[in-house]
Amino acid sequence: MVSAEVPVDSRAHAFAQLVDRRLNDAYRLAGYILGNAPDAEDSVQEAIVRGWQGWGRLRESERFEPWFDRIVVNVCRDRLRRRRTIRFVELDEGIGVHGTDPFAAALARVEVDRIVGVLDPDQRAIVLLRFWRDLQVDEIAERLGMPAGTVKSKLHYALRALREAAERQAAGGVQ
Amino acid sequence: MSQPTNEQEIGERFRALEDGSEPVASSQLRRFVRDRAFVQAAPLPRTAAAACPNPFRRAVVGIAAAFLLVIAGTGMWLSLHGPINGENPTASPTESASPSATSSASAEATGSPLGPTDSPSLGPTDSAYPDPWTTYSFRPAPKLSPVAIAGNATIGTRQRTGSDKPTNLQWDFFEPVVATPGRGAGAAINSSVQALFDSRVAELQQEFGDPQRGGPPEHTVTLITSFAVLSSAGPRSDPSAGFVSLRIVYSFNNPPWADAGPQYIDFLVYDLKTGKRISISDLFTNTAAALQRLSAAAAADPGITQWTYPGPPTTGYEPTPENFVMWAPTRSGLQTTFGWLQLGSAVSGTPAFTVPWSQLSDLFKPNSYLAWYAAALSSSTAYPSGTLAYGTFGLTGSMLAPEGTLTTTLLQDGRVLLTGLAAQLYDPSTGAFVATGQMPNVRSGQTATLLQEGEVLVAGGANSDGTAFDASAQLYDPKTGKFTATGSMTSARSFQTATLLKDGRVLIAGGNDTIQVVNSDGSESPINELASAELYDPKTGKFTATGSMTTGRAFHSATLLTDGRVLIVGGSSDAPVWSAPGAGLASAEIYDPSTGKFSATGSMASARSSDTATLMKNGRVLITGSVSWGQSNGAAEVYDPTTGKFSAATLSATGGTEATATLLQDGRVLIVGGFGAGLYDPQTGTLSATGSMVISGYPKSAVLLQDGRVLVLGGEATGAAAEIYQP
Repeated sequence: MVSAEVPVDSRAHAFAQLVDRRLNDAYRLAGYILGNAPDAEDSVQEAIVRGWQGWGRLRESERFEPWFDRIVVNVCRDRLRRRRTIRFVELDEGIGVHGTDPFAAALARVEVDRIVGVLDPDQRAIVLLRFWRDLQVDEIAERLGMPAGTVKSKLHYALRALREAAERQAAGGVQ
Repeated sequence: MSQPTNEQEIGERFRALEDGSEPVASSQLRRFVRDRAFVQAAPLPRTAAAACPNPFRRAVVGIAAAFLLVIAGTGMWLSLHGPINGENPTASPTESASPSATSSASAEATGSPLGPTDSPSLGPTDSAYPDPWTTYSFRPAPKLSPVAIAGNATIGTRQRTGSDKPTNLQWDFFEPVVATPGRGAGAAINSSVQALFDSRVAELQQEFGDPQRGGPPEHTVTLITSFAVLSSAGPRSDPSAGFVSLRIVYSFNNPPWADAGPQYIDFLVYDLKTGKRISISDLFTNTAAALQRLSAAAAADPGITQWTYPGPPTTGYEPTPENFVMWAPTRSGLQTTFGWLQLGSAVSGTPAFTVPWSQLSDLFKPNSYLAWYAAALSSSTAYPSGTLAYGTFGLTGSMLAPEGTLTTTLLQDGRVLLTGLAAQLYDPSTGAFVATGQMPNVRSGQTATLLQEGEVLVAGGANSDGTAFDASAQLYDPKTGKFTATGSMTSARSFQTATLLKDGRVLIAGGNDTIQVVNSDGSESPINELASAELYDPKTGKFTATGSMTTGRAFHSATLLTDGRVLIVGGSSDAPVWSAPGAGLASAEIYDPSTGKFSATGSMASARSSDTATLMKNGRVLITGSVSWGQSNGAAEVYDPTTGKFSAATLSATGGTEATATLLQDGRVLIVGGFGAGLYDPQTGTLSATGSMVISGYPKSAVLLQDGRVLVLGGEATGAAAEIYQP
């Protein structure tokens, strides 16, 4: 148990060790949700800061992974929510990003880059956690801080939206 | 590679994202960790002593459930402050209120231990469970007046608490207490309910004490109950007869147990004359045939099958009485709820479905209450007296186009205008959404404001191809169902506010004027929040500039105060919301139409944007829901126009991001948000839970209807579902 009496240095050391182990995973999670590397980089950095602020409240270090994931996902969701006011130029227009950005490139390679634009932030996170991370619904629920039923129904709607978007695209309806 | 068309293929695509050449964190990011730069970036939180208890054993709780999380017409006031006052008065048959009084039961609450106040009294436990663990905090129970149900009976609430040291289990029950004019029936019902509670406690004691399951938790866990009267009815010919249908939800108030959903749900139907519990086998002349129909209906109901993952359920709804033990008579039919994992090991949650009375009525035992109830409901659109199920949500028609920003405007004729991707009208008398006039632009971020003459001003938002924000505005005429152009705003705006002033003009304030774009290098164009404001005059059809706000705002709230001024609260500032803690705005300002100027007023304790602001009957404004530095901020604050200051209100477990808050006719405020629904009572300063939405999640909008009910839209981000809340 971490307590207030433990010096900051050793607490920071323990935290840094745990984060370091999860860093690549967190980076990729953020990258696939957000679709580009600069955003992923910023989000993970922010998640680390937020994680550090909440570190004292995480009691069991074996639960670090879902806990940190949750922070990463929350940061990304907020970023996407904020982005709801803007256009996803890198997805809609593809102005040269696919060639250079590793996440945009990966999303383009498996040909989901254009259709994930139809998903809202929560759905995007859920779909990635479910299929890319291969997590079960209750594990996703833990990471998103929402009830499993909500995750399940959001997943359902997300898949439907993806399917419909893919069908529209296949029919030539999406530019 | 062709486009994926089925779910499996979509899943495969995402799985294939990793092909061995995965991106890795940059050296800069790694240094940020290894050099412990985060320590400088963020000061340590105050204390680390507040540790979270072990997560509750999954085997006991099952998987988290979304639905029916918190339900109470009359129950569920959770205490964070230790023992609450002793028992509340039980129901008295002499105090029979009119059936409509059921809806205002909580508003009649008196004698809260904390007295009527909007200010908080948050115990140390609140700061002990901050994010990332959900904070739950409720106020002590107000005393309830008994309310009338059918058969001249009344129902009240009694609180019972207890604890068991060896297992660290506490219980804090809000029990229904039924009083009937006939001898013994009420007492029989009450002892039946209590026996059930006792057996639930005994089961948990056994589980908590079981070393195989990890033994007692380190910290005290409190089991709490809430109950709702789902329905109650009786024949007018016999005022002593009738039934009452109760739903009791048991859950834990300690995170993270609370996150895991209810432990049990009991559905109870009692005969008010005999006090006997009515089981599903008592209803039909041919129970086997009835169960067959229920089973077939479950299998055909997408509301049930959509719950299954990855495939359809294979067990749990075979036609046996045990599978349908959680039944309840509702206005629309016989509702069955399935328990956790009942439909298979992957199916958590408590899905429910309803079979219309018409599909069962031929099998009802003659002269039974339910036969009468079903007949009464199907023969008349008016509800027989005593059948209001209060504090509950129910599905209504589906929206035509749920996407985009949904505005809801109550028209003078009682219908509701929705603008968004398409314009549509909701008719409460039919429960249906129908298309109405064509809006010239596909909208997002627009506002829709009912004018004094009955027309609706729709202003701003994204233009039809989503490439820019728009300055144009339209008027919707409910009589013709058409949109016509009116003057244009002085600036393009989206996510602004529009407020009808007392003189009939409309104040438009703030918003974004340009769409932010992400450049090819990942950088973002600046986003600009407008400080400017303008007035729309319906007489001239023109917008003219008025004073500017003290700061640029978008995603803020604007509320007409009773004195005619406008309160502007929060919003996002120019700085990206994620750039620093609290980058939303905590500041607020007041617009005075007589001077045309904005001036600063008190600031909130926490920064927020996308907040809700609700003018309450006491003239104060309840602020809830928001995003502050990415954290969903459930804390509520109350603005007092007489002092110009904000004070914290009861912490809301149901607020959070994208909450809606709707003033009810009785003065309470219905808050619906990410984790459920709650009722804020300004008289007592308490937040109490109420029935949960049928489709959980983040509602897009909510509006009070003329009959006192609330239309809540879009439980899911892409869902077209709409629900009605019956206070």
